[in-house]
Amino acid sequence: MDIVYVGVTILFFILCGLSLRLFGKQDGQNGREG
Amino acid sequence: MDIFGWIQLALFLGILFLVTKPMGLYLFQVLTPEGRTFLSPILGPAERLFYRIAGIEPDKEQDWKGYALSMLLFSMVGMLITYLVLRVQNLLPLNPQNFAANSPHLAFNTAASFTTNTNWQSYGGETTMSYFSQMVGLAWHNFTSAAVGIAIAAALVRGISRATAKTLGNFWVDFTRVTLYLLLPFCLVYALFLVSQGILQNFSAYTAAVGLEGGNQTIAQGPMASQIAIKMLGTNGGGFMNANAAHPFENPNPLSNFVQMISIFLIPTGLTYYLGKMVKNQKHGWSVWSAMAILFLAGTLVCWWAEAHPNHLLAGLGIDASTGSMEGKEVRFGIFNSALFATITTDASCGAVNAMHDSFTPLGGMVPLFNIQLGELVFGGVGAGLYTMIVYIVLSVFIAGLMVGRTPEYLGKKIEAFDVKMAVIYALVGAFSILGFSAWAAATKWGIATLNNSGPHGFSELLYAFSSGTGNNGSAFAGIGSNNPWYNTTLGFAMLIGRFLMIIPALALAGNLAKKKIAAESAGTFPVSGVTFTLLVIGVIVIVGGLTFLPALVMGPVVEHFLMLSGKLF
Repeated sequence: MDIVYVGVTILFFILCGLSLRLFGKQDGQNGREG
Repeated sequence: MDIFGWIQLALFLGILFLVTKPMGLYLFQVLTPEGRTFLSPILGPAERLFYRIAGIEPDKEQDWKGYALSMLLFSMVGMLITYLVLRVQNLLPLNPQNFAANSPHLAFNTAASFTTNTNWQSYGGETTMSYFSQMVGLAWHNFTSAAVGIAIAAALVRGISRATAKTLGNFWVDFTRVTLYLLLPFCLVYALFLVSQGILQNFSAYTAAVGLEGGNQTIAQGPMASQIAIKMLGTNGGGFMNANAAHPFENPNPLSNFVQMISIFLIPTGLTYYLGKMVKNQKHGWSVWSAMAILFLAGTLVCWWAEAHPNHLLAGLGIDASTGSMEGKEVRFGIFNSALFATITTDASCGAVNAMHDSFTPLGGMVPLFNIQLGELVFGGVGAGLYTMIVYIVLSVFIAGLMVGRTPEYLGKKIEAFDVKMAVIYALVGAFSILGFSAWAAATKWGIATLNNSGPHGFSELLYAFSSGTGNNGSAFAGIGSNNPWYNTTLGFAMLIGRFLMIIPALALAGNLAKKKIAAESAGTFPVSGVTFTLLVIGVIVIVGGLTFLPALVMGPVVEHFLMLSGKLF
């Protein structure tokens, strides 16, 4: 079971890292709504 | 609700008010990268040496993505190390009781718990963890997770206070300075005070004793004071002992109890002053403080009132109800100090307990539960409370802007679509995790198999568990049995979601705000200080929290309260 828990932990943090890219693309859209 | 309680409440609020400014000024010195503190002559060389060894360039600032990535990498590595320590603690030193290794699911849950500043404990500390695990695996995270929270709050405040900036600071510098100049020295002094009050600090094997009734008893020992200092100051909450701050070794007397309660709010209250100083609008900082203080008082009074008016069925059993609902409470603390502690520990994301919340009256138990669900922004966890409050302020000024038909602004920054999206994601992530996992638990045998009670009280137990996990609080309705694969795994994920999937939108919001210009105040600018602003923020917090969680609360503590009045217990 160790490999499962270590694996999902790393996967979780990788997904968090990918979300940075997602939000990072969107925050360039500043000001269009202003 | 006696006079002694009122005096203590006034004393508590008075001290909290008095420490806010000096603490805020000290935080300002610590969180300014080149800032000098009174400890700089001693610790400055250590700080610079650490940067050199770790290859950190303290002058090099990061944008929000770099800041977030550093935080994520640090947290992931720390979590994996703790998992490893717990899995092999039987092979490591400082294990005089020869405790076995943690099971994989318990190690995962505990590692997630301490990495996220939650300190949910599916285990009994004195019967499960070696001294090495307590110190290296757990207390270490108490420092680092607290430092991470304060660093994130500082980054968000910089995002508000800076104009047309791309960076938010350097995560490694903020983390190092908070640990070195704030947490370590404060905890050193604090731990010595706790030792003076009778809290243990040793590496002895447990003591075998024969009780007055002739029974054998094992009395736990260990390095407690050092862990309890950071547990309270860092709003971590994980006890050395299973009974946490209800145990006389962790919290022996009313003075230690009072100081522990103050220490939970010490850094969060200072952060409101830090906010005001950074944005050069101290009235704003005090307005935020006032909103927190009003919500704190409301929660305390409701909980105190509920616990002072116990279950009326007790009278039929010949039990004197005049002292209030004393089940699950320590006689040395009584009703008021138990209610106050429960409110404080859940206003902040601390989670230490000096009474068993599961034994509170339905309405008394609802207060800590609702506090957690509101986001623990009433002073809040170290850092986490302030950045949650700022997210709610962004929502508040957005709503105010909609009401008056003007582009919403916060301290001269236009609040635009991306900012509102991040704030809403922040609010929804918590609600999704709490309600989603609770629904899953309520609908399956895995979720209800280990509840201690049936009916609405059992539902409150599982709702509290996932609220506490997601909210990174860590306290529990003590009846629930969570040391099994399903609860350990789901609660582990709830804690990770409640920490990192909320920090990321908060940092994205910070990065976006930092890029904006600061517009000059005009007649149409919504004021962010004063009574109107304070009441608006309180209103938005309570309405958003109420709309999200009221249906679940009705199925738990509210219906239990009315059933209790009709004579039905669970």
